[in-house]
Amino acid sequence: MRQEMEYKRFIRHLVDGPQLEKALLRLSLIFLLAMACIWALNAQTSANHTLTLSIGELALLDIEPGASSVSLNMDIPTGAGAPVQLLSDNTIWLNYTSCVAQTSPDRIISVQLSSGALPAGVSLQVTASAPSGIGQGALGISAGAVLVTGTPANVLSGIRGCYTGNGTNNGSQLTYNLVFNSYQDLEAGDYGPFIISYTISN
Amino acid sequence: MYNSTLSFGCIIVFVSVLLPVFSFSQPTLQLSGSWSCTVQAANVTEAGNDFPSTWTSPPDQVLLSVGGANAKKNRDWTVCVSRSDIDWDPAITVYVVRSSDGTANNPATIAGGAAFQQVTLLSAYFFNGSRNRSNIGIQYQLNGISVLLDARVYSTTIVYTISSP
Repeated sequence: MRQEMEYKRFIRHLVDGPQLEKALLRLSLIFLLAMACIWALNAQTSANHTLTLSIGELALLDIEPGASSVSLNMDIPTGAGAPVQLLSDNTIWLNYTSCVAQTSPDRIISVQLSSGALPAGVSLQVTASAPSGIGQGALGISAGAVLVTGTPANVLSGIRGCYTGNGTNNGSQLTYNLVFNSYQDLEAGDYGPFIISYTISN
Repeated sequence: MYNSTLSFGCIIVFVSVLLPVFSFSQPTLQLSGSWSCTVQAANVTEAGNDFPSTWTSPPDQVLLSVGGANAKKNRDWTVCVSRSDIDWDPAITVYVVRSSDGTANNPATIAGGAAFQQVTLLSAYFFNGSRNRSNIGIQYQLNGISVLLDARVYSTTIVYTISSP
């Protein structure tokens, strides 16, 4: 009871007491609060920092083996009246690496005849195989056989984060075929060189 | 009445002065530095290859300092490490190693943490010692980096905790 009265007197004193006493008491409380803050700040039993990893988008493509060239010739028929046999070539592979943001669209690989003109009556066809080898990820889907012209044509689509592996026997194998459109337009001769370009893009 | 008020005020000031003294009953930890790792196209050596899967920071990328550990009762301390993910991929693993001893006065000691250990979401022992020590070097390693991950910024918080036995 007596303690309670003392406590009430103390509180009343805070509000109604003499100015000097009130000021000293308030200063003491502020000092206590400040020291508590300083104590809390200095008594660090843990410390931390942020570690960040930034992965950027990329799209890389090359042809293996390096410095490749293809020669497509007509094979001499076995007998008169037999059709001309055209040889194909499948020595070239596409290797590629792709890294995309989640919101970025799928990537494609397209082919284009970027230099040279095919002779009359002849078309060039290429087929990119389904990706194989040691690669992983979303390697894409083959479009099957497409004509190689001056207009880009997709050979692979649906490519996202992936890598094919390096070198032949990894990635997509390219098979080239010559197609005769009309025999009467054919003229004997050596044609070329032609430059065929592959591009990986969004 | 005024005497009791003044006494009460003196007690408040006395306690305030003693608070910092009480805070020295456990060791404290200060940290400087951080690590930002950037992986980009130039890091792929040739088309068809993946990113290098392991990335290592320079030694002493982060420095830890132990203070408040010279009193007899809190001389020995242990540092534990964990991480708290902000925006991370569990395929990326974080490793940490103590790359240097820092500086201290004899007879201070330090031990443990000399080999890369994985930093998980759970706090685990890292290294221990006695007495104050400054600028203990920390080095990091990230594993599992690949083009198969989404291209974006990943972030996590590495947390070090010190305690006395």
